[in-house]
Amino acid sequence: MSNEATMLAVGNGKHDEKPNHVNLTVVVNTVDTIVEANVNWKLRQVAERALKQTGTTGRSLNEFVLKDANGNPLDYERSVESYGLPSGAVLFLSLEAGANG
Amino acid sequence: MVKPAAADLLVERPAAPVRVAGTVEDIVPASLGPREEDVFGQAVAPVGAPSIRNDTDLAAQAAAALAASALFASMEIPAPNTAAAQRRHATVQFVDPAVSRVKFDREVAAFRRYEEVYRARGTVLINATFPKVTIMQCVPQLRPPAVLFGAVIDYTNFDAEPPSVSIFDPFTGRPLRMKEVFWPLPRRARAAAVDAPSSDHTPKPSSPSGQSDAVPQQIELAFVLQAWGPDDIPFMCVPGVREYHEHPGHSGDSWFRHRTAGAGRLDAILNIFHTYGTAPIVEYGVNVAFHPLPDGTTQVQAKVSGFACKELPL
Repeated sequence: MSNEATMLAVGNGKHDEKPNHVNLTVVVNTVDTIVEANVNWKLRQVAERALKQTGTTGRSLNEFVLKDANGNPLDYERSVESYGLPSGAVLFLSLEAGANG
Repeated sequence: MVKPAAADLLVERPAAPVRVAGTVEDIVPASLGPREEDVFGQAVAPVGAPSIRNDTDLAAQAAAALAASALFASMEIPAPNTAAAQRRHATVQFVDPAVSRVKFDREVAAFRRYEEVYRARGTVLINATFPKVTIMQCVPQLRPPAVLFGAVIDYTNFDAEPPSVSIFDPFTGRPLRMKEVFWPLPRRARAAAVDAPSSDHTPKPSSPSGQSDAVPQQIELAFVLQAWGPDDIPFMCVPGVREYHEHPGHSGDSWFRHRTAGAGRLDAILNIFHTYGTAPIVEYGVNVAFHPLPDGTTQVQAKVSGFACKELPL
């Protein structure tokens, strides 16, 4: 985790976190859930856990897109640490448009 | 071919062409008055395509066009208080209103919780009163910022039925026709691989494996907003939107296949607006024309013709 991310985490009052863990808020189709994630996890693991915690069923993860608060799509295969996501970061997991016709 | 009055004819799309005899007044009674509604249910005057109106000049103009051409009868914006309008704006709440209201409030509350995030992505909430959420989709990264369209998401009967999404002009409240939508949410669509034509126009022999030679997969342009024609009202062609599931081409794709996955949720719809509407746009597209004048000077005309965008999403 970057220094900046660490400082933000402390600033958010997350003193009781496990080492190398961050609490990420994932908004799955407007439902918030907090995922306690190891910084070495890939975002795929974070997203899968968020879907499970919110009881979102019926679609595979590949039909969802994960974005940061600025609307930038995040790569499922990159780690939490590679994006420098601090505790309290808000991610949005939304259903993609899918095939149309 | 002249298309004189498609906007005003309140007829269903016929299975076969129908010939109608009579005067313009017979076909379009003057008593009908204004023919279009805005998204708030108010009658407004149509703009754009010529229409048969109850004033003399336009009636004569339409009569001349009728005499010289076929009349296109298609499902258009129906007149207020007609059966067609009632069908289009079917708001019969058959789900317990308390249930739909709770779910509507949940969607709106989630939006408001992250309203600043949505606003930064170009979504501005205009109004949220059960059962409708009205938003304006903008492109905040442009200078000056642009407005793409307004949208009404109608959660009547949610979530026994998916929400209805309609696109409108946020400044007049009038529903937009397809030709009036400046940015119909373009996207890339993978086309099926096609056989490469042979140079001598003879069929190519298949490979030993029995498969013909094919060119690599091609990328085609598609649009999230679709309509039968340029004068028709576009609908959002994605699962989770009522118009998609009511379309005869999607009768095999039930809403209940998508209901638990988050389709139709406010965030999912706004995410599509952002992904295909706001996010890909990087700059205004400008056409510049130079016209030499007799006095030796040059007149320069610049016109915004669209948007320059980065790679379109699939």
